[in-house]
Amino acid sequence: MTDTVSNTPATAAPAAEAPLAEHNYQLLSVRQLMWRKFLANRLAVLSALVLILLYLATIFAGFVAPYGPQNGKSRLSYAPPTPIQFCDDAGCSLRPFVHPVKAERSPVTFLLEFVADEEVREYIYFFERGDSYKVLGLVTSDLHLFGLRSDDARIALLGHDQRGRDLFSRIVYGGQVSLTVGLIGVLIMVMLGAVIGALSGYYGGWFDNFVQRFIETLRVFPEIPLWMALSAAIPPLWPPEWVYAGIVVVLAFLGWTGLAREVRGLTLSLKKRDFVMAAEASGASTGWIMRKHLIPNMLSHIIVTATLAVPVTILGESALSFLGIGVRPPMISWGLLLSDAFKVQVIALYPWMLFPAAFIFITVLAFNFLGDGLRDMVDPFS
Amino acid sequence: MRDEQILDVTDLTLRFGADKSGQGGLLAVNNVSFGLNRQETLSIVGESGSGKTTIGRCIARLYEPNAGQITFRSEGGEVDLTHMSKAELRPIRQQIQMLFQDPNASLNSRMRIGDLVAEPLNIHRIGTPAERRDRVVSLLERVGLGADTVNRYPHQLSGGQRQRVGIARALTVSPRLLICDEPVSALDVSVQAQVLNLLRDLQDEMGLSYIFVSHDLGVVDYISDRVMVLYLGTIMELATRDDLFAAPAHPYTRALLDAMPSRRDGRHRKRKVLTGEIAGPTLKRQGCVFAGRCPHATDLCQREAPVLRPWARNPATSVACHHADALDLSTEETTI
Repeated sequence: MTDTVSNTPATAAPAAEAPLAEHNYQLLSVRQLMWRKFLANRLAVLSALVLILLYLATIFAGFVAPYGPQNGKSRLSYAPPTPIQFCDDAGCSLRPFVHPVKAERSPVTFLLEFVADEEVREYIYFFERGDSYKVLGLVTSDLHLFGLRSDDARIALLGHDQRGRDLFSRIVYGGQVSLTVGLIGVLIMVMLGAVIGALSGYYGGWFDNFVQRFIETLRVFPEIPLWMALSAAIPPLWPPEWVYAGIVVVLAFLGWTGLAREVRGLTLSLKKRDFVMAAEASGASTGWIMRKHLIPNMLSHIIVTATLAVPVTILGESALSFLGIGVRPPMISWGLLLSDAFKVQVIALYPWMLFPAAFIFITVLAFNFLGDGLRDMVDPFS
Repeated sequence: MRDEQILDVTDLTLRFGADKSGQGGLLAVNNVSFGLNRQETLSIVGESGSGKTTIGRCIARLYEPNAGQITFRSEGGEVDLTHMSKAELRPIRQQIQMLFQDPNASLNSRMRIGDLVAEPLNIHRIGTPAERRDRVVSLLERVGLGADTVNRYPHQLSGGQRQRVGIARALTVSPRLLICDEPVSALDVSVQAQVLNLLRDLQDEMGLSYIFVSHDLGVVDYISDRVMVLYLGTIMELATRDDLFAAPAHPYTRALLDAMPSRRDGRHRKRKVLTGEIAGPTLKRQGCVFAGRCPHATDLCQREAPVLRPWARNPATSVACHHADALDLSTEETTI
């Protein structure tokens, strides 16, 4: 009866199968494919570069900022950005210079006006000595990227604040709080969210039920009032560093739920996949399956979600600091700097006080574009 | 050695979503009993939803059966797989390995082939890293893949190559029993034959026993020693391959054979095709599960479920049909 059976030619030998293809495109590893996909997204690459610059500036804040964050001259209160010049009436120079400014009361409006002293040129020098600072709390230095030699004039790319401090320097230092809050907060979120989500999805049952209801309860509260309530609970007498840590914890505590849900969903779908079954049939323990199969397959998604969670956290910190319940002086954050621009009067007369908002804007946008790029990247076969 | 029984399944029952008393839900496997000898290939055939994959997964203990025993005999003695904890099962898992239908889904796309094949060794901590590597390379070569495959990723291989990786992976821990869950149905026909030949060669070399789940009777005819026909989780017929294909005892087996495409003489054969659909497995059952679609069904079939018993005309065949002794199904009924 065997010969009536059709579709099983029994003669072909295994060797007849095509040898492994030699084409280059087939030899790319998943990693290489992902890298290509990422590079193809120009906006994401640009965002990544912007973010790298911002974080480098944060690490070397003392070097990038021409002045220390508290170094101010009260006579320069609310002085506008210093124009950098190559030419004036006396001719041109290859080395850029600024004119020192003097406050004069306008005879018409009785407002203080800053008048440049065109007689004096203060040249800008690169790698100039100035206020001393510490890099990462370890190395002490007084080298600055750029600065003036004379103490009479000051250079302020983005203007001065009320106490005559250089806003650019303060923004650079402020990044140390604003940019790290996002990263550290998200790190805590990822640890909480990924572990709880994975356990919830893998074990299911009453634990899953409990976790999901808890997450729902957390999510039904409006975010800002809950943040406010929690950060108001931080004792006012704590040192600024502790307050900073407290804010990070508050933001992370409310932010892990989204990630936990995502990871739970991924775990649910992955644990039914054949390769997990195959590992299980081979006798793999739960820990093995998590380590070798679930987490590596979820990692890319976790990274994407985390990247998209960073701007949310940064905005959260800015909102809290703006409202005066986030980090407190003498710490600086972008939200705190913005709170100086709280009054309409300030914005109307000294619009450069809004520059911190531009930095928040660029950072948040860059993280979002980067997240989008990573999302495309994690699925290189699509 | 060959007639020694390696696996004995008795009254295996599995309900998906059963309540605590083991009732209700979806009856996927209904009182299935069979044995498997050393170095034998037993095929389980049936339509989609007949429970053939489920039986395989019960034996691999990926599913927990609600009732019945699965006795596995090896050098280490006799064990009942259904009453073992996960920890007790671990050493047994080395002896029972699985081959999955879709090699694309059963290989973790983020692991290199070398790691995938070595995974069972790593799980059971067998040998030194160097020994593991040697074993992986020699197995890859045995299944017809080069040693350079170890550094590749599954997506860089063809379907046939991936299934070879699946086979190598299953064999690393020298199992006694391989549960093949439609291992070739996702492959091209030309590649199917190569993989089947490889499985047959490996069976002889390593003394493997196969449970071969398939819906493709051509493949089943090629590889099996015995065939079990399943309908709605119930055994319809259990016979040697030659007996089954030459003289089917059950009307359902006949219908399956008639549904097979044939190349014979290039003549077109009018096929007798079953009407209706496979009944819902959640329905309350009465009588023979196949009665609704059986051309020979009588009142008795609707009323009373037949039991699996030796066929009067060939006691080597077991059949679950009231009328098996009376019906003559040996000729194709509808030939032009």
